[in-house]
Amino acid sequence: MTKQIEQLIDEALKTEPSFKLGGNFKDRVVLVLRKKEKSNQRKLYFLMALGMLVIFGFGYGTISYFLPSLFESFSGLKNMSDQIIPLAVLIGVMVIIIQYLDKKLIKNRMLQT
Amino acid sequence: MSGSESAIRLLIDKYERLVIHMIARVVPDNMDREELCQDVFVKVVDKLGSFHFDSKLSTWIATIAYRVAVNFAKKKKLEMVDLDGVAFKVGDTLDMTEREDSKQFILKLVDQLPVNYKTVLTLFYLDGFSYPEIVEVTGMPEGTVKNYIHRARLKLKKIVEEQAGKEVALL
Repeated sequence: MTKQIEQLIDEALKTEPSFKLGGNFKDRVVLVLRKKEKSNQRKLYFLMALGMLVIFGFGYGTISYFLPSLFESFSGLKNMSDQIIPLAVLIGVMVIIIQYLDKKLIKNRMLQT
Repeated sequence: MSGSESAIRLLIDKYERLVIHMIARVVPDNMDREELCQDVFVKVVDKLGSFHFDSKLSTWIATIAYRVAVNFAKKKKLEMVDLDGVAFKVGDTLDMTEREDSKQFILKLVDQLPVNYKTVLTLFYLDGFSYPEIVEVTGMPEGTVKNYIHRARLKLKKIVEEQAGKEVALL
């Protein structure tokens, strides 16, 4: 009797679950991965654009600080460098910090799960 | 993506059973099961770059499936306590002459086991993983893995013996 029970337990534990995946399961996985890939690409383009803006802003700010005579003839541009460009640089740096924290804290945690 | 699409399909074909085993034994609802299996494969493909062949691919995929299943169980507050804390619902008496019914009876008991016991039993019996592989997947010490398998079997055997005894007494 004991041996019979042990055999039954073995058989039961080796029984495949009756659950089957849906017919379009693979298509759905591929679709999710495609969407993710597109979203990652968009993020990359956004970061690249932002990086260029920050570099431009930084360059423009540096030149206007050390070589103010270069922009004196463009008074409109000078006003812009006084107000808008520092703000753009600040926003750019904040966005980069947020993106970095998002990658480090949230995505890494998701990958660990 | 288009080039790797066929590779992803092949990967799913090869490892879907392994993922289903882990998810289906822990998660009771079919819709949740389907969604979690999808999550597992998305994570597998996403993290494939970080797989450096330190272990078998099946062990690595099982680790991801295990974590997804256990996180789901924690979120849904499924039974995570020790075996002694489980009050098994046994139901009808067991007719040992009906082999298929007896197996179903045992599987219902397995469903009631705590999640950590179910995952270890699944890896050992269904997927044929060795103790060191189960240690790698679950992060449990080898002694704990062996203990879980031994205690779970003992518990199942005890309940089946009691129920089979009742059947004999009724006859």
